[in-house]
Amino acid sequence: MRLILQLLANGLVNGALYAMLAVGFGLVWRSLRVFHVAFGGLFVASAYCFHTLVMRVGLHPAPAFLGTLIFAGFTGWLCEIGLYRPFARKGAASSAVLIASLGAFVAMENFIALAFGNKLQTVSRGLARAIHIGPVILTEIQLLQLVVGFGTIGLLWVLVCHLRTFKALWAMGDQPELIPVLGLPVHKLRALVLVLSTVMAAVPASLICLDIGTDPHVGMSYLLISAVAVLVGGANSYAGWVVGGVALAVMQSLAVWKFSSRWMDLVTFGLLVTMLVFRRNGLVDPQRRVEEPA
Amino acid sequence: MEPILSAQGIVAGYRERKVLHKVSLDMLPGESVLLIGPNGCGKTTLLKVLAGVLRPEQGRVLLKGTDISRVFDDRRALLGFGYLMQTQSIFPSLTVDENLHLSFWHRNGNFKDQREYILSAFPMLKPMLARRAGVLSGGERQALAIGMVLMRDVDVLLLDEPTAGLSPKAAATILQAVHDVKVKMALSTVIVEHNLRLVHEWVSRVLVMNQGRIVAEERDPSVLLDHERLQEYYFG
Repeated sequence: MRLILQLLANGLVNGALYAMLAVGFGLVWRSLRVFHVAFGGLFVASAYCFHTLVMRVGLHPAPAFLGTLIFAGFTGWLCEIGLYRPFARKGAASSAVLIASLGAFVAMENFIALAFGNKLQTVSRGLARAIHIGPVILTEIQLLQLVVGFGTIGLLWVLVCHLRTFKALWAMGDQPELIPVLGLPVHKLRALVLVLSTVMAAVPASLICLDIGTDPHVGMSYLLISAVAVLVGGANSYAGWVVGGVALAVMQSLAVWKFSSRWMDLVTFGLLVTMLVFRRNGLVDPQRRVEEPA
Repeated sequence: MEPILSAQGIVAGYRERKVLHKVSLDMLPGESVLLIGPNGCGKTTLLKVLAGVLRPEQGRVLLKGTDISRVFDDRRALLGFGYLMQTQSIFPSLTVDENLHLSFWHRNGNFKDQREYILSAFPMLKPMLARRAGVLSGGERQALAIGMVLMRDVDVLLLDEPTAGLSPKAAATILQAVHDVKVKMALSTVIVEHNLRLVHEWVSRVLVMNQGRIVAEERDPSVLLDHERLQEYYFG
């Protein structure tokens, strides 16, 4: 029983990280209808920015974290104006945007490998202090990941529910053609989506780098986790993305109980296929009219 | 009197396919111009050019004498254009209230006052404010879409088939409400509509389009009830 509780706790910690990734990926998917493959590259770039600020510049992790968020916001904005906006202006097909996004991801991954090498880069911080919470033991960093993860998601949730700007981001995914017709600033809104999305990737990227380090090739793995969490939870629901991320992490964690951690990908994609076959619109699917597109 | 809106020698289309061939029109302040013609004759394309959604290859669009041909649709909306698209004119995942609030984006003043005004024009929306727009009926959706357009400061209202797919009763309700708002706000309107019997009372001029050109202009809207004449325009 104690083992199950420990695995559930580990799953929740990872769930907080996965949920942030899912929110970051889902925002772009829902608002711009772009399968944002470059998200994986932006995740790795953020992790390396954090590592550089801590290990090379010598900053304390807290200011390095803030610096990484600013860097992430800037790279997200750059991604919009340099990559996606030209395609949007030309009305390019989604497949062309997908290929371009994949190209950007590969370019970022290779550039980082060239600049920093292929080895795992860790942040040296000595032994992590363990904290006992009833029968469960979490490290200091795990606790930080849990609190920052769910705190960030909660904060963004409040903003999404109450600010008109965030309603506009959501609306953009419904009817992109209607946004400019109503006089809404379509380019600013698009840029905001990419900035927010990349910041949402930078938070877990920094926390994961602080915990287990990073290497240039982890981007694809976290990209797939984000995409699966969004599809499992429901592409049209913020709550769905969070539920998808947490469910995926908990299932991966419980899989370790019975199998080896090498089989985590089986859990990830098994869950995806099961959902696509039996519940195509995800776990959280708002009520809709029959003729309304999913 | 100076026209509020002019289109001069508009040539426009979609890539290789030209739809409008040297179309010109002038609209005076407060006028209600009805565009009619067979399907595919370029009515919607002309509205798109006027609204700035589609860039013309040749020609100019003037608003109160100022050339706005190069002004994008999001900026043009701020100049006083209200454009109701044929489809996709609401945000289905937001509530009715959120749809109206989003449409109030650039407007100064009190949102609640403006919302009250829209709800008085379209009372069927009042009990629906908290409902997701995607679950509304066709008539309610159209009322919301027009309400959203009118949440901003509008001088020129461009309506593309506002009663498409509605029952005769719902269509009459919507057109009556649009007419009332138009009179109250002193709007100039260009409307594309196939319910000619319903709409004929409320228009001041009729432009007949065929094959990308304006082929006739009628100042007496009763022509809309003359089937033989219309057949001549459409097929003759």
